[in-house]
Amino acid sequence: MTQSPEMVAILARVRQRFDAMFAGRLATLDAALARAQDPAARHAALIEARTVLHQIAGSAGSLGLPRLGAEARACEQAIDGWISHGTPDWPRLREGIMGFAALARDAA
Amino acid sequence: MRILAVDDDPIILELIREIIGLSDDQELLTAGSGPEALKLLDDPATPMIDCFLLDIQMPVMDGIDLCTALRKRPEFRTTPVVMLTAMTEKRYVDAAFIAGATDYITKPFDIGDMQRRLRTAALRRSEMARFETDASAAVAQGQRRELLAEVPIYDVDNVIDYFSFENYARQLSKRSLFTSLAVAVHIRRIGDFHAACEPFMFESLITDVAEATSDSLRDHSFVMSYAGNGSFICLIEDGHLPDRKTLVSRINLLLQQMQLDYGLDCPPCVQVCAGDYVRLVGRNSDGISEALVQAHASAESYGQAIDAQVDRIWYEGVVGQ
Repeated sequence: MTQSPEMVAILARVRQRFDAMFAGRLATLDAALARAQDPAARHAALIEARTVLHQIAGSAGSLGLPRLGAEARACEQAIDGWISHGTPDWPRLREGIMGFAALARDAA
Repeated sequence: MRILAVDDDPIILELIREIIGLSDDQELLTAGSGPEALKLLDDPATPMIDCFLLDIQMPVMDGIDLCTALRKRPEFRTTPVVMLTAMTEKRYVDAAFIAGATDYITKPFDIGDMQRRLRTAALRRSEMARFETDASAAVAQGQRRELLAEVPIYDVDNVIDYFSFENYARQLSKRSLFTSLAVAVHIRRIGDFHAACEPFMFESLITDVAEATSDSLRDHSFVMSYAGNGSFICLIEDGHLPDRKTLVSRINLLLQQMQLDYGLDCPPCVQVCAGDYVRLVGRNSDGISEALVQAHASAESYGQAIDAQVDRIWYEGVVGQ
């Protein structure tokens, strides 16, 4: 869809803010993933990771980063699956989130 | 229009602020959570809000619970509530509209689309304000409202207003359409009731039938709305649905048990009929609107046919004597 110059300018301004917050969000995600190595802390850590992924999923797509948004959403849903019925298992879930973090660093 | 946007993501709030900044007639307040929003609304210094934009997935209180809390406040009973969310699953869409949402935008969203939806919300806000003024004036002057007019129905499970209902139907994804059906329930001889009942009693009748219909469908996943002219349209998830006759019998039995009295000298029995079940599978947005019209027309035409048959029996009986 063609966007007016005003809309392009809006997206550029908000994207700058998104980029500025992105490193902090990824650091939160990394820390949550590290804490999740401990089975006793895993549930709480993954809830925190999910919050970060949910926020990225919600805004990235609207700011011209559809793949990043879709991958964040897929990880968020994988965490939901792990919380509600234990699938995917932890190694696969961890691998998926780490894959997202790598993609996000490339995109940043 | 003054909008309160509630989202725990500051980026989304900033994007909304920029979008609203493009309009001269829109003003934005923001809150980062449900409790913060409610606290803001409790502050006497906060001006009246004309529209809410709510995220669903938020910590502490989600957007659906916040919407429910807003609808309990008389001042926000009809205020447009637009959900702005990444949650696309049908259970979230259903829960949001049942809680009182009037529209549903999924993230990622397009700026132009967001502007259009906010303009529609502004129109709805004006329309509802006019509707409420007209309704109060009509009651004060003892005037009857048109048979086709909207009747506000509050606190009946899964019953939403028709504006929201159309938006709800448009939100059903292709996957959920596969198992969704539309069916309309029509109050027989509605014109007679409309002509004979006091306006308030007529609204009570519509609410009573809404309640009986909602109760009859309580074992199913459904959303329904009053479409005017004595007809309700229900969107139901398929799966062990009662056939039309059974559904009608259940509703009519409940109506009979309710022992309704609308202050008429010679109270006619309130009975409904139902139209055909119309499948939604394979339909786009326009096709869904057509399906709603088809379901509505089918119920009304059944109602006319049954009433004509009853009249003929009476007439022939009289002529035969």
